[in-house]
Amino acid sequence: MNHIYLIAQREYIRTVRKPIFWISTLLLPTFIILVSFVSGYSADQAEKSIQEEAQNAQSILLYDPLTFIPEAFVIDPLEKVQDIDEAKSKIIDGSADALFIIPEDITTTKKVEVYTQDTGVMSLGKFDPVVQSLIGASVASQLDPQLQPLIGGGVTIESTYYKNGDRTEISLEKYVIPLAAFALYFLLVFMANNFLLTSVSEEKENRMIEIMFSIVERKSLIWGKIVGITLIAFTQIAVLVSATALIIYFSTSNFDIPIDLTKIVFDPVNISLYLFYILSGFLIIASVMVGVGSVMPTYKEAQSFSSIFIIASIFPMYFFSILLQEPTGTISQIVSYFPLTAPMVLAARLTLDALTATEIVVSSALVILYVIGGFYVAFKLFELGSLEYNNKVSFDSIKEYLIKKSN
Amino acid sequence: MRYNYHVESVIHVKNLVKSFGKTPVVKDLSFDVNKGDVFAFLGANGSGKTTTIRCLLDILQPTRGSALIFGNKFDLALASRIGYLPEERGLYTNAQVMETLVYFAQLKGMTTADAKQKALKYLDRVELSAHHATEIKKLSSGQQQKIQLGITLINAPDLLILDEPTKGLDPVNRSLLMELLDELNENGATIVFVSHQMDEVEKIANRLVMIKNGSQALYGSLQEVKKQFGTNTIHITYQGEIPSNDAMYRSSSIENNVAELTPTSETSTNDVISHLIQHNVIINDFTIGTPSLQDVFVKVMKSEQY
Repeated sequence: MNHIYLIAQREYIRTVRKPIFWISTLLLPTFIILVSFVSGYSADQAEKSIQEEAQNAQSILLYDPLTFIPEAFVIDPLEKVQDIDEAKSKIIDGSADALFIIPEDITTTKKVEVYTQDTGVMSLGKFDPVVQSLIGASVASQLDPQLQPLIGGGVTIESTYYKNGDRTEISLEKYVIPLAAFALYFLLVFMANNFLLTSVSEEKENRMIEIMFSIVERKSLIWGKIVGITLIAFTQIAVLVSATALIIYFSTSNFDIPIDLTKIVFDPVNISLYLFYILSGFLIIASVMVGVGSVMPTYKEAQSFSSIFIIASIFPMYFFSILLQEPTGTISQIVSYFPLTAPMVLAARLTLDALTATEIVVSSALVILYVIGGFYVAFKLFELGSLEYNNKVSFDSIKEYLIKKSN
Repeated sequence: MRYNYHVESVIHVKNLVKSFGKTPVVKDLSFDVNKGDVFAFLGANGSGKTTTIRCLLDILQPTRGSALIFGNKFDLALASRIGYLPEERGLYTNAQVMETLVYFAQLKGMTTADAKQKALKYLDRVELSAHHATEIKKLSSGQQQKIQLGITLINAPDLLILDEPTKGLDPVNRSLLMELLDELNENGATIVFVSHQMDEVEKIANRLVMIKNGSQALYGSLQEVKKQFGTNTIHITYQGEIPSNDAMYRSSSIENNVAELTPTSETSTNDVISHLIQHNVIINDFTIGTPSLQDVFVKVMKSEQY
């Protein structure tokens, strides 16, 4: 245990005193913005899909007792109703896609109610453009200057969502914890593991590994590095959280934060699951880094080889819109059980309420097996490759070694 | 499980075999290193010396046989009693001198205070105390090697295993290393070292094992080993040119007017000296005794008998 502590302490100190560590930590927000830019296309596609979904609605009910919307605009799939309770029950039982309620005092309240189905986070405000354009067209047709303020987003839309007959809440506050979890996941899995790869490779490249083997257990050496690197990641998180808090503190006088922090939901079960997925994701990639760092003779070669696994593990990000729209679809299911992508996809599906209790249990058991299996192979590769100073370990020798060890 | 094969035995290697795949590298090797020995582990490159050491330190698993240290299979509890300097060695070049020494001392079980004290003492001994806060990459190659040695010695080990400790050292640092090893041995440390510098071995070793292609070729005290190759080798300092005469003697080394000549079975030392004088060789000095270890090593490596 003392060895793990000493190694972790050394890893931590040697990393945090490097200027590059602080540069990369502070550049992280910039990188995230770049990633958002790159994934912009995906988001754009997702928005188009949402609009298409709204446009493809089969039945939209309109309760408009004062006929604010001219009859000429009430065309299929729009259908005017007189009984508001009956209309609401159609939304609840799923026989209609949406109900728009135009109040009698719309000119004073400037408010429209929308009742619709909860199809996940993407259903948030799904019919807002439809309502806004309907109001806009109606105002334009009436040529009444008093109604002009209702055009161009002048109407507030209050949405109520139903899922399987029950009313649900879709709010941005619900996504604060998942977003924080994804930020943590990103930091631990990708940035911290890059430090781990550097550390394992340098140990070998510096020819220190044999001396270390005569003093400490191999597992202690690796766990010491993992603990040290986890602490480094937490330092980064602390820096980023502090920076964010400072920005919020100094900016509140200039703009409103669109999130009510008091409404953030702290669900202990979900938080535990997020932590489990983050930790398991980190450990799976950590095992890959240990293995790659062990079999490659130099850091440079290890880094280029490890990029294959990094790309594979962030693969779900490239089809995030599919995940959002069909969180229980075939692709989502497949990537939920692939070792490198499982933790990230499972966390995403948890956010979208797309995981059943059985799936949580089965996938968690599988993820634990992936972690154990990953480290089993990583330690074997470390044993096999750490003393191969100048050569890559061939696939054949790995196969031979693993078969021999398991017999 | 503890084995008491020999009360004084620090290292006990018995019928050790180590193969990589189907290739045997160490073949049925046996030897003992006793407490207080300065033990030379000799052999040509690739003969299995480093592999044997790695088996001793459990870095590699033996295929068969046993390799015991202090009567036990190596485990990390013994690490505090052992100093190991591997053949492939480096340093954390971005780290500072002092922190490196303290880190390894702590890993070997020393307290921080003790580690710092020992590190300062060592740096002072090797004239590097002014560099205690210097990054290792800024040190010269010789200075870096002193730090490597410091990592090995800082815990004042009972057993030192040094794989080519003088490799790459200049004569001054080589001499300093020899002094350090002498001091440690006088203080009770057992030293096992690999070297290709036979003159150094002759200076400091009392016992040795020489291996060839993974098998034991020679084993015993330095004198015992050399005696196996005769006691009639003539070591001369001379002027002139030594004539070649294979029927009368074999010359194993002739350089800088110093030669080592071994009479054949048909001739005597007197015959050889007379022959040299007849050929106008001026002999300044001569001794008759065992061959040099260099000569023994060359003979063993060239001979098919071993």
